[in-house]
Amino acid sequence: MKNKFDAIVIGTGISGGWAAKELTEKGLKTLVLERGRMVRHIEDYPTMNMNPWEFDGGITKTQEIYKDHPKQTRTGQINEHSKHFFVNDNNHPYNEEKPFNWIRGYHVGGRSLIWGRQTYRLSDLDFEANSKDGYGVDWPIRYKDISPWYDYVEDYIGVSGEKLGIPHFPDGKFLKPLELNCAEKFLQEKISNEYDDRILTAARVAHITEGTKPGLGRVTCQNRNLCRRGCPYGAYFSSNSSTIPAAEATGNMTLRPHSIAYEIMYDENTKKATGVKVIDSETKVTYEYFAKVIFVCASTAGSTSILMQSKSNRFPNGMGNDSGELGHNLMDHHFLVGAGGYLDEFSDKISYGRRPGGIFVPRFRNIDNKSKMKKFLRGYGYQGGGGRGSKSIESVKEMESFGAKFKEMIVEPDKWNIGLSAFGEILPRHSNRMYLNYSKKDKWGLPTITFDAKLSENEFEMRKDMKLQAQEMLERSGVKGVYGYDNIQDYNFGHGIHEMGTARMGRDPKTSVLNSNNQIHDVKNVYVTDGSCMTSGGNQNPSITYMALTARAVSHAVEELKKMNL
Amino acid sequence: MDRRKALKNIGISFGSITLSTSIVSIVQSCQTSDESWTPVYFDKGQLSFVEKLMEVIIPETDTPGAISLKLIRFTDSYLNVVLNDKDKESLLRFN
Repeated sequence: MKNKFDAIVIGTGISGGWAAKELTEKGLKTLVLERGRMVRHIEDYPTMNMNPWEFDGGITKTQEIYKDHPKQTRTGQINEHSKHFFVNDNNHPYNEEKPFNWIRGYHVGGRSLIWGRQTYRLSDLDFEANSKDGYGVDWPIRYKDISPWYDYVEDYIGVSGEKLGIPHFPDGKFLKPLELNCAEKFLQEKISNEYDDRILTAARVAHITEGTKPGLGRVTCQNRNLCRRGCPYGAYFSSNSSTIPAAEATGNMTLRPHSIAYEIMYDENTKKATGVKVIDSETKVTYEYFAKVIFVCASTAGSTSILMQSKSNRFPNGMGNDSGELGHNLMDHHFLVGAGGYLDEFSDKISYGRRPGGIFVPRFRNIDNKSKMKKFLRGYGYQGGGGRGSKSIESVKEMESFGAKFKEMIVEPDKWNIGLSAFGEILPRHSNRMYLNYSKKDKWGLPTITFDAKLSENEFEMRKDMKLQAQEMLERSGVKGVYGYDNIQDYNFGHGIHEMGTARMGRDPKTSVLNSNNQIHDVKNVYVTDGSCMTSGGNQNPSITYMALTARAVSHAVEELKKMNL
Repeated sequence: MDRRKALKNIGISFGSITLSTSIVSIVQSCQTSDESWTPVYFDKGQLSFVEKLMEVIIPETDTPGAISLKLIRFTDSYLNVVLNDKDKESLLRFN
């Protein structure tokens, strides 16, 4: 295999897939590195059409899953259906100074196969947040800088949603929204009547709801809601169905799975990176690959770890770490708090199919002076939905109707239940961090990551409001049996699977790692465009922002290459 | 048979199942359904018992019951992969 390319992309997830597509479509010969195995669209989705009873353990976590995934089984993310898309925790150890749930997929496509698919733009409320309240540093970009790239990405991947015209919850290029069911429409109407500061809308999800999109036969969602097994229809966006095949089709991509990138090489004379050092995960042989431009898209902690390992005379503390901020300002979204209840209405109605989305209540706190909260900064949004369970649960509780009556009740729907579950912003704090442990190495001899991050008072105060408002909204809407909950005991940092911020963008090289184009301040041919670049986290699911920033950064890189600046 | 009474006599939590003599005799009078398939968790005697217990919960009516549906196959594989060693052992103590 040759070792010189125009560009190298590290990672094949949400960000890496986009970097690969954009670079190759612009004519650059691109090496795409993936530390895990190959996963081909459809042919490598072994469970995509299986019925629950065809799995030995049904939908439950088996003993084998607990053994292979001792950390990820703390969450409900992993089960028999999709365990092959989650790393073996024992083979890929990490350390926890404070509890941290690191949910990972090491394979081509990464977590784009198993993501939540919720797709919400950031707005200037988010881009200006740090400068207004003083936490973190100012974003070097504003909404107008990224808005056309959101358009570009949404148009390509397919995002369903409803346009609302709310400035802090920007509309996008939407396909028709997934339909709300009767319980959700009921709540939507009641909230509109009861409140003038908040609304309920259909969750915006990266699903094709009409027509087709580019990629490997991407067609309209069939409402199976088996997304995490890989979708044979390519109906939700993944690198595997969309960006990677697009890159492959150009003939400019060389995809190398089983390639653990661990160091970016630096040339002091040119002040540029020259290439990437790689260990083959299977043979443990090391290779060096060279390119004019490097895109680091190995996930927040992964990319940060690579930069930290990229030491040189110029960068003794890791590439781009002049500021000392590399590895710091780790963020996530905190959740597992909200409220639920049931409705006596609509006993003659049932939902159709298995819709892979729900409802969303955009942020309504700290938007303006009127909505300013005394006890906490920033805000949160609600996800959730309504549905009907089976009456058999009640029957089992009563212990009196086993037998013929139980059989009847199994197929009889219970009352409609409805719930709101909040997702809130975590302030960027220098003390929330990850660092490398060189005394505890993995089986490739590479240092392991240690996480040291926790929630603070602002988040705890926010959680009180997250619970209270959910309860109040349901109660004022006439929902019965309303209960609030805050399962803080089940939340570890990282549980939101939205790790962000450890190589943040900023205006000042003294306080940030990346500039407004996602370039390392002093190594202009290295772009970092995954979650590590995030200067603040907002309360929105972040993947669409990584995609938009990646496409934007590639455009910048190609222009700079043309001008011979890189 | 008085199913309600019978089931109330069964402690439902794993590891503490006790049986009244009446349900044991009822269960023993039923037929075992399948000869060709080999269980991974239950032995033959346990299998027959559990299958009949399942038929009590999901009986044959105008739709098939647990035995016709061979639900024991799923129960057997499910318990085998889902229970830890301790629970596996204590569940079998009913026998």
